[in-house]
Amino acid sequence: MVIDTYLAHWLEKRVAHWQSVARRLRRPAQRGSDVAEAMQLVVQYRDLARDLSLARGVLPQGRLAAMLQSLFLAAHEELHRPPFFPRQQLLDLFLRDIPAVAARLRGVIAATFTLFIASALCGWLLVFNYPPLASLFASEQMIEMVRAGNLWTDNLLNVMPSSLLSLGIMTNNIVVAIFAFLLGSFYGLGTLYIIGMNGLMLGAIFAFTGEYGLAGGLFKFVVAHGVVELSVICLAGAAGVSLGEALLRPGDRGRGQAFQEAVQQGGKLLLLCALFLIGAGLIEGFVSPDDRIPLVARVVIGLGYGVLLYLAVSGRWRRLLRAPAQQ
Amino acid sequence: MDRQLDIQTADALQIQLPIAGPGGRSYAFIIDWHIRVLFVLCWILAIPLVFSPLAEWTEFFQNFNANPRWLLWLFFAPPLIVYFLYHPLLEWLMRGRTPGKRMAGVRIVTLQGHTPGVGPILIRNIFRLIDSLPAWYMLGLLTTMVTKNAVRIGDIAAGTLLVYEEKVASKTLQALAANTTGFRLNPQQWELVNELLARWKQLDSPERRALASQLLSSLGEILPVSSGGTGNDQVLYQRLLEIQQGSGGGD
Repeated sequence: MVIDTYLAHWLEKRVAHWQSVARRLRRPAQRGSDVAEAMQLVVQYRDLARDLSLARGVLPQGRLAAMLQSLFLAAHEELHRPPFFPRQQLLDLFLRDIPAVAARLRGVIAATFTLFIASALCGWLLVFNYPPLASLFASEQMIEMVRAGNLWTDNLLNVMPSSLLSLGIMTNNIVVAIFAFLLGSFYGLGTLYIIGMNGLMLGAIFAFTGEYGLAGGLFKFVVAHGVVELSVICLAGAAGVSLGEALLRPGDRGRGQAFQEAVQQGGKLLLLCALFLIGAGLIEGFVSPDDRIPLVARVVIGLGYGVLLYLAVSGRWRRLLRAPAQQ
Repeated sequence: MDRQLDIQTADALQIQLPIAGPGGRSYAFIIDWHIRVLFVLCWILAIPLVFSPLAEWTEFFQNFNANPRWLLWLFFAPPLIVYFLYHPLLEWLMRGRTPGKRMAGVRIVTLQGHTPGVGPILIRNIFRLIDSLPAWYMLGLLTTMVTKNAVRIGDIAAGTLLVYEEKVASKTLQALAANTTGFRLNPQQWELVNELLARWKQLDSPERRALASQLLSSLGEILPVSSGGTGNDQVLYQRLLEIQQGSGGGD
C-alpha cells in the first residue's frame, strides 16, 4: 500500500516534467539555441532514463513505459543530432569528401577505365574484322543512314530543339550512371556488364562509321561532351564495383556494414557524376549537334570540361581556390 | 515471429522497437501506391477539362501532339514529379513517414532508432530501382522475407529499417496530463483503467460491463445500479473516464 501511494505520488509529480520534455521535443530545433536550454535537455534526458527504468520495473508492458520509451528515444535523438551547417557541409562534401573517396577508389577507377578502353578496343576489332556484327550494336535505321553516307546525329536539331534534346540526354545519362552504380549490388557483375557493353558499343560504332568514312564526323559530334560523359560513366562504374568488392571482401566488418559504407562513399561520387552529367547533357544538346561550331572549339570545350572534372575528383580545385586567398 | 530492433544507449538502457515485416511494409506501400495512382488519374482527367471545353475533351487526347507544348508539360510534369519524389520528399518532410506508412502504423528509423537524414532517405529510394527488379518489387519483397531485420536492399544500403510506431504513446501523455485534480491511482490501476477505456469499443457489451464492474470494485467504487443494456454501459464508461481524469477513484 505504501509503495502504491509512493508510485501514485511519483506519477503525479512527473507528469508536468514529461509534458515539458514533450513540448520541447515537438518544437523544431533552432540554430543557436542557448547552452542553458541544451543542458536542461540533458538533465531531462537523464531524468527520463530513470523514469523509464522505474516504469518498466513496475509495468514492463504498460502504456506508461511505452510512452516514456518513445519520449526517451526522441530526447536521445535530439541530443545526438549531428550539427546542421548546410553551406559548410556542402563545401566539405565537394572539396574534401569526394576527393577522399576518389583517392580511396583510385585502383578501382583505374581498373574500370581499363575495362572500358579494352571493351572499346574489342568492339572496334570485332566490327572492323567482321562488319556484319555492327547489327549487334546499332539499330537497322542507324545502319541504313550510315550506308547512305549520313550520321544519325546529322540535322538532329531539326528533329528536336536543343532544350528537349539536352533534357532527354541528361536524363538518360544520369539513369545509366545510377544503374552502373546500383548494379554493383550484384557482386559487381551488373556494373561490369554496363561498363563492358558501353565500351563495346563505342568501339563498334566507331569501327562501323569508319568503314564508311564517317568516323571523323562522329568524333566531331562526340568530343565536346564525350570526354566527361564517358569518364563519368566509368567513375559511377568504379563506385558500383566498390559495392561488389564490399560484398565479396568485407574485411573485418560485417558484409552488411561494409556494403552500407561502400554505398555511402560511392553515393557521394555518384552525386558529383550526376552534376557533371547535367553539364554534359547541355553540351550534347546545344554544342555537339550545332554544325557552326568548329572542331577546335569542340575539342577545347571537351578537354576543358574534362579538366574541370579532374579537378573536382582529385580535389585540386581546393588548392586552386586556396592559392589566391593565400597570396 | 515478432522481431525487434534492440538499441543499447550509452546510459545502459535497452530500447526495443518492433520491426515491421513484409506484411506491414507491403500494406504501407500499397496505400502509398493508391494515393499516387489516384493523384495521377485525377490530374490526367482534370487538365483537359480545365484547359478545353467539355465538348472538346476527347479531342485533347485524339490530337494529343497538336496541343501547345506548355500544356503537355503541365500534363506530364506533375505526375512524373509525384511519381519520383513522393517517397523521398514525404519521408524527409514527415520524418520517416509517408501517408501510407502513417496509416499502416510504421516509420523508417536508422539502426540507432533515429529519424533518418536526407542521405539515407535518398539512398533507400534510389535503390528502389534494384528492389523493383524484375517486376512488382519482387527482389525487394524477397529480401524482406529472408533478412534479419526484414529489410529490402535499399534499407541495407542506407542503414534503415521500418518499425511499428507506438500510437498509444502520445495519447497516454494526454491522458496523464488531463489528470488535473491529483492522482489517487497507482500506475497499475491507471494502466488498467486506460487499457479498458482504449479497448472499450472493441469489447462486447457483457464483457466490458463485467470488466468495468470488477475494476471499479477493486478501486473501491460504489457501482451504479445495474440495469443492463447500453445505458449502464454509458454510466460505467463515464465513471472510468472520470477516474482516468482524476476526479475520483482510488482508496
